[in-house]
Amino acid sequence: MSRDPAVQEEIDRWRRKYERERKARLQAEEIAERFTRDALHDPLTGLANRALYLDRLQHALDATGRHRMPLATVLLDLNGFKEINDSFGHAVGDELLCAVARRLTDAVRSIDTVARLGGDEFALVIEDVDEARRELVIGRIKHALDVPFLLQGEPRQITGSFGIAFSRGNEDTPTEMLRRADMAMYAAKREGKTGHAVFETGMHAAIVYRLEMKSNLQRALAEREFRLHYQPVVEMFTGRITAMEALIRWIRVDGAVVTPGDFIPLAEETGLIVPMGWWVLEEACRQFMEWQQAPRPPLALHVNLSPRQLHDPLAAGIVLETLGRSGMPPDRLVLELTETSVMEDVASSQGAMEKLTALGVRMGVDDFGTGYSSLSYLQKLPVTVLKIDKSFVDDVAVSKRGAALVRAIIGVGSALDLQVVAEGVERVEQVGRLRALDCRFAQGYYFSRPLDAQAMTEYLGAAR
Amino acid sequence: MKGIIFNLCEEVVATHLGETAWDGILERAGVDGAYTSLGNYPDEDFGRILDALAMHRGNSARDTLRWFGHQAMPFLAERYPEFFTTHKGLRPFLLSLNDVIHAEVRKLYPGATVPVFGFEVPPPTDAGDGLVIHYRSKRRLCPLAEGFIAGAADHFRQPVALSQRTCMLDGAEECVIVCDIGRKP
Repeated sequence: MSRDPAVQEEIDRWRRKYERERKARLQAEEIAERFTRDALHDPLTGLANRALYLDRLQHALDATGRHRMPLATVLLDLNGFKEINDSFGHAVGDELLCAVARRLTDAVRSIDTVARLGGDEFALVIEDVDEARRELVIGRIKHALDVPFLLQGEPRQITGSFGIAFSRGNEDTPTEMLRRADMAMYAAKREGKTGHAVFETGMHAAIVYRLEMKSNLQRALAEREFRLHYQPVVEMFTGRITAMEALIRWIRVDGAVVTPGDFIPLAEETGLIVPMGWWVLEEACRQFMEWQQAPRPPLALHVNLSPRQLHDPLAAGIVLETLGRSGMPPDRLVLELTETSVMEDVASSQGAMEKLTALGVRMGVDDFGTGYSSLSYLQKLPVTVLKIDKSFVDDVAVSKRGAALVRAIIGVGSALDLQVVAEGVERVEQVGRLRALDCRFAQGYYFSRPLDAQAMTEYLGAAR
Repeated sequence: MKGIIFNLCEEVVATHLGETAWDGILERAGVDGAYTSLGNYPDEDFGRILDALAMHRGNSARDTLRWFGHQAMPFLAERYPEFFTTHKGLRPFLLSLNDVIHAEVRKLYPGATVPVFGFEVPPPTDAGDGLVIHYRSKRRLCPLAEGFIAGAADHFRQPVALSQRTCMLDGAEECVIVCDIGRKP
């Protein structure tokens, strides 16, 4: 049966209209979906964004409250991501973030949430983590980064700092959970570069304490609350003082003394160690030259140098200026680096040390034997002084093994023509053993504790 | 070009030229015709629809564009009354284009490229208010702007006389649209 052409045309027109409207509706749905996605997902990695993360966390916490199954929030921050971005470019950095996102997603179950909160910060919600599963879950997430990532075809080991917080009950809120995970991550960062930490109640207090200490440190530096003490280095066979080591002390306005162990690590972490360290050098050189006014056999001055100072691009310039201002002869200055700090990056340490020795100053290795030493570095680095760590000296008169170790270190030192100093000598038996082992120089309470400038002046006068 | 313009065009055509006209125009323009207000479509599609519409009306593309803008205004006012009700008359409405209306349009339609107008506000005369609008856009749709202005004038029930000092379509760097806005009756 054939239709009236006008009717047929009308039918076709409606069919076309219907088809157009159907297509437009599909487009609209697609756009709406994309809007929702954009609002709740990170465009780079496709992971949940902060808004969605907090929403999922809230839901998970609600469920936890009902079923009493704890959940974990995990925060992850990649170590050294900025350097990767700087040296490989942002495209490679972005690629790495996507790869990390995939690894994390693969490491957890589909009910768990993986989010990117911004930059190189990732967050996870892991549901139903009872005591028994905790280690397993943490392990799985941590191992996600184990296999090196390929950056421009080159394998590269990426590490992260993980902060983990477990829910505790009805009082948990997403913000509170994140705050705890954040504190744990902060602790993980502080305690080592590959670590993780689980939130503990004391962390908050510890962080507050550190923040206070940090601002106190800044103030102390500005208000000159630091003083230098000096500990003699003596020649073992004659008892003659041959050098002194400058040691920083923090004496607060109220007279309280803060021990270096309580503020040096924080100063290192915050970078305050750099201005602090350069102040120590300046002050020690000034004081040293004052002592050298009096006629006495030439001494050497040992000043500790933090790794951050060593790698300070201005280091050589600052040392040169300080030598110039104080009139200090360069060969009397020994800049001491700890073995661990040198070993962190031998190649770049070597370069930085050579710039300093080019000025005529000498370099020493402090706490020798405590780093995971490879003896070969001693040969490469421009070192002239080796200080045996106190832990070995402690054992030298106690056990045969202790004595054997010290003998070996002295042997290595003298083979390489280094001046070997035993640190932390406290008892007469140690002196006897060290002499027997042919250790020429020593430092420690047995000879003298660190003295303030005034006491040191008197000590030098008496020793003359 | 945002889908909303295509949707407005369809509404205007269906209302003034009849339901069947739009179908024919789409066919003549050779475009897909499925437009959703939030979508982004090639400017070229709009150009082809405009040409087809001009042919349908037996008029120039310029006139057709002005006509479309003029007739589209009531539909815009119906969809977005808040842009209109907050203003007492045509001039304050036009002056809010850059800072309020287009800012809102960008929120409603992310990715929308809206023109930025320059304004000169001459002192009022006995006859009414004047406004000089500077328009620069790669799309060179000044007739559409004129049409919209005329439509908005109808909405506020104010007479307006429009003339262009210079026009991009005549090779000028920018269009300068002079609006003589009469008092409300």
